[in-house]
Amino acid sequence: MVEKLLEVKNLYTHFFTEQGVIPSVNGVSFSVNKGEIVGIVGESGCGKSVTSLSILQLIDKPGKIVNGEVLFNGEDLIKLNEKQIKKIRGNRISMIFQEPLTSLNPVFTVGNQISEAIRIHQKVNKQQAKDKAIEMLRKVGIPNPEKQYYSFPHLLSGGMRQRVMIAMALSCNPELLIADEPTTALDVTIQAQILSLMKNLIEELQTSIIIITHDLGVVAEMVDRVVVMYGGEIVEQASVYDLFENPRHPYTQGLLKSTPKVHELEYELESIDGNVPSPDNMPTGCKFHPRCPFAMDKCKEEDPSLLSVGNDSAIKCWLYQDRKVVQV
Amino acid sequence: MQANAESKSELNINDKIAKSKNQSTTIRGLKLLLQSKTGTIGFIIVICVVLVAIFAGVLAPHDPALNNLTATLKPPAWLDGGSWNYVLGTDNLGRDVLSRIIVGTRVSLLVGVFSVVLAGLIGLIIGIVAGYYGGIVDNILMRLVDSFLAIPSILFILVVLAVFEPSLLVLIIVIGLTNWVTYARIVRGEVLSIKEREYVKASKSIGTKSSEIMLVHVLPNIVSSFIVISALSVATTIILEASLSFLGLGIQPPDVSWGAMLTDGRNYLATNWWLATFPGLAITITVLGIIFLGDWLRDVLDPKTQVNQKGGAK
Amino acid sequence: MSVVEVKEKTNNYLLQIEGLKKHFPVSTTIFGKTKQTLKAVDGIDLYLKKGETLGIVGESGCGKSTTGNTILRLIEPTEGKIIFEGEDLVKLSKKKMQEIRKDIQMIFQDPFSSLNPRMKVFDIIAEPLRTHGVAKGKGLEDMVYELIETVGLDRSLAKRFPHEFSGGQRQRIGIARAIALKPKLIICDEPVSALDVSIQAQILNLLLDLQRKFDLTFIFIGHGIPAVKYISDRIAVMYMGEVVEMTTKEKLFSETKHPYTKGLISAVPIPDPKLRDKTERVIIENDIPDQLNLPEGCRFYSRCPFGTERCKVEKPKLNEISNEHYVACHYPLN
Repeated sequence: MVEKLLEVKNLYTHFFTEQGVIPSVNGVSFSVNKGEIVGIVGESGCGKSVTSLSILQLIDKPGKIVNGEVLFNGEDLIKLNEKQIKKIRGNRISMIFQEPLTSLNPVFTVGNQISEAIRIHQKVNKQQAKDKAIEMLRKVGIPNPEKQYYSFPHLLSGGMRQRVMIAMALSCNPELLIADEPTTALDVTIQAQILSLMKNLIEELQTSIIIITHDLGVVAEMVDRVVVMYGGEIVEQASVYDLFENPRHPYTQGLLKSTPKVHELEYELESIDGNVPSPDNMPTGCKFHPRCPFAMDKCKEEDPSLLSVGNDSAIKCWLYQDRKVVQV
Repeated sequence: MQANAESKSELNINDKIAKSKNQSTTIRGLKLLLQSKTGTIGFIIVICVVLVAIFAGVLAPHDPALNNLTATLKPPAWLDGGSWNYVLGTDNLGRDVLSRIIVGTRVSLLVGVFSVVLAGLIGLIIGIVAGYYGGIVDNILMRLVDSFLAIPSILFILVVLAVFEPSLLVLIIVIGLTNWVTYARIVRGEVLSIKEREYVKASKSIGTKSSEIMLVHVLPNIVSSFIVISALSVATTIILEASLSFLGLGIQPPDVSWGAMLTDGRNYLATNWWLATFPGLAITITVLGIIFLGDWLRDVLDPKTQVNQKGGAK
Repeated sequence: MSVVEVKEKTNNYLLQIEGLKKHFPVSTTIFGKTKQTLKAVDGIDLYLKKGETLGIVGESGCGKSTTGNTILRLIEPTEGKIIFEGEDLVKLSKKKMQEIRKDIQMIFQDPFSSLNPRMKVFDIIAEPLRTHGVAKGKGLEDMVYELIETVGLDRSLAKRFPHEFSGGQRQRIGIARAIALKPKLIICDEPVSALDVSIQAQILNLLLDLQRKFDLTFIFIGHGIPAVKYISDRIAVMYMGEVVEMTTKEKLFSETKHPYTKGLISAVPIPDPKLRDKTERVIIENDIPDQLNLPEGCRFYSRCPFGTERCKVEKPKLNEISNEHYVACHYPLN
């Protein structure tokens, strides 16, 4: 029996702006098992980042989690107060972001920032924290870590900064790491370095990971299970092999078909018609229906629900609703 | 086919915006005005002040320069000893405070508006040229700006006003000439950032002439921040004119300005508070009105601001 | 003699670039003397045949965008020739250059900053037509509406402002502006990098359609190898201001010669989990070296898994090792 580390249940995060309520995340449920890497894929505005921020209660006003549970080892993180959640952030669940330069404080050395992070959560003295920080810097492949400990963030390249972020995120041996587009801002050769580094560290530290990305290549390379989001909702969930071999949702199919392939020479790239909907103006019924090649009348009016189709897979589409399936 | 699908969803998505977009700019501006409470207040104040300035001669119940030694230092009408003949009271020479404020509006507004227009024009031209061409041109113009900034402006104004007879025109010119540097700096900064936008590059790549790029792409994109600064600047200039008059270097009698009234009233502050208070209030209200109006102008000039049904511009 | 010149001078070359350099002064002494220069583009040779698409790939800072901008002289080149239809653009007067720009257009990366936020779509697309006095009045109107429809938008959108459109639609507007003058060459500077995956494919296919329809020649600059591969006929790989490999798309992927190209290709994650551990990988270690202190020898030496003493001291030249396959490496891969 696999142990569930994180379970997000029926999460709704809305933004209450002057223009009205923007439902960025609308009833999202998924789970992360111990030692598992889960990928959340989707395009801009699909709610993948807001979902990850909601897990750690990092939603600022006018945003608010209006409903749902985020069970971490059985404990609901949403019910925790600010002090309690701070003990979890950066300690048992850490996060790395897309742009490492803005996530690091420019006026402190990288070493300083890592050992600070360690000292917040662990009872160690300054020297121990420093030793640990240097060890982490070495682990993430930063050359000459004793010297780089005293570097300021702006003196490092983008790849090195992301390594520092990873070192900081993993310094307290978190049980869960949330990586929000960790390689999007990096060049492809550096991305390959960081991905392989992450893979090795995960194996070593047994950390569970949620990777948020728009890049299906990164998903195929890294994750065990995939959650596909569209318009603030999960439209499909499956194991990575299952998803790429047998994509069920028309959106997933379209996404796979419209991804340019590096390992094929002559092929026709298909695209999904229409535009990515913006969260403040979602279509009625199934959110994907205006772009869906299989759209039926029913799709325009009624929103299908996410149904399990066995094999740890689930799908939210009228094409699959008539099967004998169980609701998630 | 694709085109159809796309345009359909596009129309769908922007349906709400579309309705407001098809209206003319004037209507859109007025709608935005009604949406913003401060904007409406500012608009009303400014319109009133302008009307008062224009029709000052008709509106003023008395001749503002007329001494009436039988009725000196009369308090406002609602106080003991006041009379409705002199609503806001009279000063030490028996001149009607209300009439003086009404007529003083002219000077304050004229100085405020025209010196800003003068400063703005000089600053705009120099700022755009310096920012757009860069290099030596920029260097020379900016050093000129620096040297202007190095002179304390109040000192400069004092010297000029000591040499020339202070008059409305001299005031406008001298304030305009000291203030243009601020505009030049701000405009240049804006131009520098806009110059790097890809649409300017795109226009260059099309083969558009530099002068046209400045007019079509650069100018419209700095105009909104420019107007907002100008509106605020009108406010500070009115205050500057008041301070100069307060120092006795502004408008000379028998002409009236709010600042000059403040100066006169200063000596009577403890005993006859209305002499300084009402012109002071006039300055405050006008300045606030202009600032409010400036905020609204910024919204109107930005095509991104949407008119929405629920109120409150974005 | 540059490699390109040695090649037979056939007439079907639309553009030839010879020894193009662009050096930026980075810091100057107080007397205005240059202390350090950034060699963004450092002596590149390229050629472009009519009707083809030449892809230029490379990582950030390799000089690919500078190359694109220099061709249009949006940035003045430091040295070299840019021969467009037999005429050296570098030698042209400003006025002449402005006329030539009619034939060379550009599509930009950021669909949000490449359109003037205060102009309506109609005016944005009409700008090139007005500038070059191609049409006015009713004629202009018809042309603009036709262009709007050509790029897959609805003509009812003409009176809207750019912010009302999504990224993909804005890029379509940018494309309409670029094809308005029926140019011979369009330089696409990372036109899909800022777009969502499902929209990228739309734009790539639109570009291919337009190429067929209007007989366009493209230079397609990109950092995403899959997209460049999809759209290009030939590809030039740039590294630190130099072209390290240039050949047809087929050869570049099946007979990769330069270790950097190999590493670049194998760094791209393949969207197929079954190939996860089966593909052979050349992982390029380290970061790009300091661009202000370029190494004497091969610029890739510090990151190359196959580097030798020779590579450290001797700079490899771009050589044609088989028909239309140019490589700058002492030890090309097999």
